[in-house]
Formats: sequence, C-alpha cells, structure tokens
Amino acid sequence: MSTHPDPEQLSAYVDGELTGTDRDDLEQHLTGCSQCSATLRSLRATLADMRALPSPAPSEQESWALRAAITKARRKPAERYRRWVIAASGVAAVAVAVVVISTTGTSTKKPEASSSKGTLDAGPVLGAIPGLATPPIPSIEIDPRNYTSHSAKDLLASFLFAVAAPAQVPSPSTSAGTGHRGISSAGSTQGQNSLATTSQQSRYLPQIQRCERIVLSKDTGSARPIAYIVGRYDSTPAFFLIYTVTVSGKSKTEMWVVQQKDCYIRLFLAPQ
Amino acid sequence: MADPEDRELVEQFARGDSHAFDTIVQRYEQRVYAIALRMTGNVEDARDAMQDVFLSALRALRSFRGDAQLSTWFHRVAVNASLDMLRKRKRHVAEPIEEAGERPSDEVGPEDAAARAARAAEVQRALLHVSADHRAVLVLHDLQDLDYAQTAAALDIPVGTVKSRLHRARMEMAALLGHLRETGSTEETEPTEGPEPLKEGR
Repeated sequence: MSTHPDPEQLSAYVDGELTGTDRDDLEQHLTGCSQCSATLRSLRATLADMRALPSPAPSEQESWALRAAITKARRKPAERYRRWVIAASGVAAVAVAVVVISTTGTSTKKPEASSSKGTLDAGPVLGAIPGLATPPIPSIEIDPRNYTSHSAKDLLASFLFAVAAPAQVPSPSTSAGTGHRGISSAGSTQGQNSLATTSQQSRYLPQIQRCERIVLSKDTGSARPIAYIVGRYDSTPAFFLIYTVTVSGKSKTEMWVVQQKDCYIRLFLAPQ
Repeated sequence: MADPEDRELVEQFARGDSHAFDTIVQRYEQRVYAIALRMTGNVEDARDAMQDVFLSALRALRSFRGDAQLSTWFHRVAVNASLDMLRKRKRHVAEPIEEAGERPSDEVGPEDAAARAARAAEVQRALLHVSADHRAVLVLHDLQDLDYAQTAAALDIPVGTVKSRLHRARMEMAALLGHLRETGSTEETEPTEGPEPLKEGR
C-alpha cells in the first residue's frame, strides 16, 4: 500500500478538485487502504448531511421589514419634510418643557431634561442655517456607556430636543460650560461624558471622518454634523454620528452608529 | 469575470437609479439570509444581519468598483454581519430553527419528513459547535456551492487556507454527526463497502 496522502486531498477529491497524477495516485491508494476509504465515506456522508439542509428563505414579513428599513434609510427629501411637519407639533411642546426644566437646574432621569448639550456650546446648530458654507466640526465626546438600539434612540432623542429648542439653554450647575451633556438612560448618572482631549481628537477625528464619508452619500449635501460621540454599541467600539438634515429651511436630526474599526453600519435612526 | 448583470445594476444605482437597488436586493436577499441563518443558527439574528447587510450596501455600493464581484462583496458582508450577531450574543443559539421539510419528493412520507427535519436540526447544531472560521467555509463552500476561489475571495484568505480549513471543518462535523467512531478511527461499523450508513439526500 502506498503511503497515506495528505488528508486534505481526500476533501479535494470529494470536491472534484483533485486532478492528474494526484488523483490517480489517490485512487490507487484507496483501492488498498481501508482507513482512507473509510475517511472518504465519512466525508461524503457529512457532505450529504449538509446538503440535505433545507435552503431557508426570508419570510414575507421579513422581506417586507427589510424593504421598509431600506426605504427609511434612503428616504427622499420631500418625505423627510412631511414627517418633520407631523412630528414638529409634539416636539415643540416637549422643547418648551426642556427650557423650563433646565433653567430651574433640576436633574431628572429623562433625556429631555438633561443639561446643556455639546451642540450649543460648539455652535454647530448654526450649521443648520442655509447659506452657511462650512459648518464647524462638532467637538468629539467620549461616552463610557454601552448603548443598545433602545438606549441609542434615547441618545438621539436628546439631540432632537436640543435642536428644536427655541432658545439656547444655558448650562446649569453640573457642567463647566464645556458642553457636557447629562444624558441618562435606564437610571445612569448624568455628566458621564467628557470632551475628547487634543490627542484623542487627533486620533478619532480622521477615523470619524472616514466613516462619515462612507455613511453620507455625496447626494446628501444638506447633512450637517452636530455631534460626534465615541462610545460603545453592543459592546463594540463605535461612533455615534449625529446630523441635522435641512430641507427647505426645516431641519430634522438623524443618527448613524458605526463600528470604529471598519465603519460597519450598526444602526441608522431618523425619527419620524 | 464579474457578472455583467450585477455590474450594470451597480452602475445604474451609482447613477441614481434606485430601482436598480431594489433589483439587487431581490437578487441577493435569499442568499444573504441563508448565509446568516446557517452562520448564526437563529432566525432573529439572520433577519437583523440581513438588514445590516443591505443598509450597508445602500452606502457602500455607491462607490463600488466595477471590476470587483458584487457576489463576493455580499458573501463577505453577510458572513461578517453574522459574526457580529454571534459576538453580540452570549449564547450561540437563541431558538432552534424550525427546519421545514422543503425538499419535494414523491417517495418521502411523513415519518421520513420528520426524520429529515430532526436530522437537519442536528446538522445545524453541529454547525454551531465548530468555530466561526470553520463554519464560514462550510456555509460558503458546502452550502452555498461556491468554489474554492470564490470562497477564498469572499473570506479574503488564500485558497490553500480554504482547502485545509474545509477539510478540518468537515472532519469535525463528521465526528459531531456520528460518521466517525469515538476513538477517532474511521472504521465503519457496517461490514459492507457499499451504501453510506445514512441516506444521501441531495
């Protein structure tokens, strides 16, 4: 009996990928080797088991949900405007509450009662004014929290209220006017965020801008960044990129959550 | 070598034709779902991974290079999205997939159909026992019928690595599925040289 072939050759043989003298030698070997023949049968049986698996297809509901998610992500400007108008009445009412609660310095667990947003101090709300050429780059915030899709919605909601607030809200006690935003979700304390240091800025900004280029198509020229947050999403290091999208003078707020290492999109939120 | 229809669709999409994207979704939806389902072992993760893949495609395909294969891109991103879902979960299996006996057959009665469904569940469980790297080559090559080169391109590994990983993965599966004896020897329990111990359902 000839010496045993490299075991990989048995798989290649099953796949029809073994050719020429290699194949001839193997077939020759198999005629006299029960062990390799048995291995070959095991491989074939295993392959048969795997190929007997049914080919799953998404259900109708899953297909529909997929298309709805796609439609939402690429919503046309006209639709964005319409949704904003519907939502605006509700938002305005809450925005008034934000002003009232914040100026009294009361801290609560709700995101809409949080203190000064980084956006106000950094001034990028100005970027939403039509005609302004280059919006300022928002400060980068470091957020130690681990977000899920649920808490990420709360995070975005805090920016929604900030942008819609009719007046700039001065920071009450907790932050030192550096744009600390006391976002709480699920009972966590306020003021956990910190602004990135200079070295952190120089490290994160290029990464963020790389992801930004991927995330924003060249067509969405009206998107202005209002916040860059460095944090975690589902325990993965992520960037939370928040934009104001302006259409016909009206603004709405959107958030992209992308993985830091490869800008892989984890979440897109554009509240209606 | 790129599929001409795919290439045309991507070009149309890049020029702003949103219907082209709908067609791309139609073309790749089932494939992406199937990869995600077999990689993650549960329907919820597969659905979420599928959404992630196509939302990612919405952005990435605007700047897709014409010489690259769209299928390779989808295979790769589907595997990566599945791995993301797996990393997210502590346990690998949420609920087991209900394996439908989809294979049409005149001679397969209800008992056989139930047996096949049970066997399919065993195979899926075995798939979840092997490493993610091994699972990926099994899913792409053995389940999605990609060849060595396509599998290598999708996973961004050399063809030689595909071959060795595939063989090791199959041997692991063989052990898990009872095609090898406990001792690791491959002596068949059946005395005959002929038919396989289990039905070959292809």
